[in-house]
Amino acid sequence: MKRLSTPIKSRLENPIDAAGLARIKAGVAARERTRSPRYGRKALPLAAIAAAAILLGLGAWWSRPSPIIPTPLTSHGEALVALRAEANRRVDFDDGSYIELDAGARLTPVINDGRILLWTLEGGEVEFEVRPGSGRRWLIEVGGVTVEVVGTHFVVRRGASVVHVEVSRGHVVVRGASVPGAAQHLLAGQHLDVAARGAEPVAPSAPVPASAEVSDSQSPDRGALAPVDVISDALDSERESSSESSEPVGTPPRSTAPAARSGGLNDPVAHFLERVDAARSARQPRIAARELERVVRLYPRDPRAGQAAFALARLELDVLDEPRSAAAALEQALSLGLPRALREDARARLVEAHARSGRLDAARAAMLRFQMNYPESNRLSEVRRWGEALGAH
Amino acid sequence: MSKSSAKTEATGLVDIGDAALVAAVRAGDRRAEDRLVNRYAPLVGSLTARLLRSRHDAEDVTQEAFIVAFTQLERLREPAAFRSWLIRIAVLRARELLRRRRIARALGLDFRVEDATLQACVAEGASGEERAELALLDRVLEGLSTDLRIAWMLRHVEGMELQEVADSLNCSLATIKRRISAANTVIRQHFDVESEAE
Repeated sequence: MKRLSTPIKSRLENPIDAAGLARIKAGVAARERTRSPRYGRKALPLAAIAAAAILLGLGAWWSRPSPIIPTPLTSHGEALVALRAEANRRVDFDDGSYIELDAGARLTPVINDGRILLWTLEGGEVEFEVRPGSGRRWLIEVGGVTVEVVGTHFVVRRGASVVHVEVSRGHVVVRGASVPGAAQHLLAGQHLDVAARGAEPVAPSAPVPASAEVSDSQSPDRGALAPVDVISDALDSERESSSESSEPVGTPPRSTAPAARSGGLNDPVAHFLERVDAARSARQPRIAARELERVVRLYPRDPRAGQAAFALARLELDVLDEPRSAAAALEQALSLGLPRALREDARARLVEAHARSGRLDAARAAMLRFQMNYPESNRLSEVRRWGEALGAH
Repeated sequence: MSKSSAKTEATGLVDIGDAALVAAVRAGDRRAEDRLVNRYAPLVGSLTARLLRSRHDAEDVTQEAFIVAFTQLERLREPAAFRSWLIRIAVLRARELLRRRRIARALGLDFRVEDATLQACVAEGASGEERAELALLDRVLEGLSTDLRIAWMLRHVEGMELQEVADSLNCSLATIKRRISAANTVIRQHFDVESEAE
């Protein structure tokens, strides 16, 4: 029997990275700032009177008819739209934030729901001044990396092959496969250059300007999607497309989903899944994969994220022939949580994905785990075949 | 030499010990608070991440632990014991969260992201066998009750002394020995584990 060498943590990496520590410190600092200073016991009566006054005030506030709800960001009262700067241009927002676009910059608001403002920078340079304290997460997707903002002033430039991020005040987190360590925390005065992913194809329903989303949000059927079905349908369609059609990626879709099925402002995940649906209709598996990857990356706590990761993995394994990415997506799907019925399939596919990507140790570990978890599985022989294939190497 | 001062020397921060920082915080010095956060956030964050198997939850628990510690600093009798006091606050909060999760899971409402399992944290370059071993250990630990799991992990994953485990969980030494022994009974079905705790 294997002897456990302890302490086990000596064999592990630190699970909290620099960005995590920064969040902890920022969280403590923010909450400490809002905490009352320490007063002596003599001040207690005064504190009690003050507390009573605050409670009365709170009661009055509580009885107000309209609660504060997060609202989409606007510019001079207007909804945000895609920006194509022909000359240098500044856009001011109603929360005090602003952006400055250099000539040629192309910036599109993809999600603007009050909690998240997601932009896609397709080209050029944009300088951002983000006013902190709104509770809104600013995210900029550019060339395969995501810049997450925490109230700051910074520049993002997309060149032909390099994404440049430079922070002049505050701090940002840059994430992406090409980012060293998958994520980098940039402080004021720091900059980062990372390789940009190849030019991206135009989305099936080109990034929806926030103005269009406003009308979607008024649709009575908004949010009435069955996400699992949408993903499954997409997968079925992608499988068909792999055997029947090789239509080039980037071809505009035949049609988009009816407006009544739009995800809308309050359910951005449904919005992305709708785009998966549209990509399915257009037989564009790569675009479907990109939208699924966005769901997993931007909304990992959504109950649909695990299934989205699993759908992404199947797409990468069965259609796109990208087993390494598929293995990562399967690991993520299992980590995010899958229904019992899908877990066995995910674990079996993980063996295949690792084996096909040449990671033999990982494939053996996955096979061992599958055998341990599903000793009676009817997939066991298939999994063992991958094991035999490994033995032959 | 106390554990905290030894730690201080080991990390090169000999200029200001925990006791002095705690005194400064009590006097209202916010910079001393920052210093304590910088000193212990990595330790507490990592420990709670492994206990909770979630980086996100660990960040929340670590933040809360510091807030509670600073809010209730007047209750700390030995300022030099800030480290173990902070760890106790964090571990007890993590324990409460794990118990809630069990209920949520029973109701099918647990959607947490398990991104800090032992297997997920394994150092780069570890062999497949080692990864499989940690994956199995994750699964075995998942089957233990919250109290047994935390006691065993503090002892064998974190490498704490038995008395430190007892302090962290606010229990007697005998209780901790009993819990680790009970956990070992299950874990020994799969692994050979040291028995010095019993």
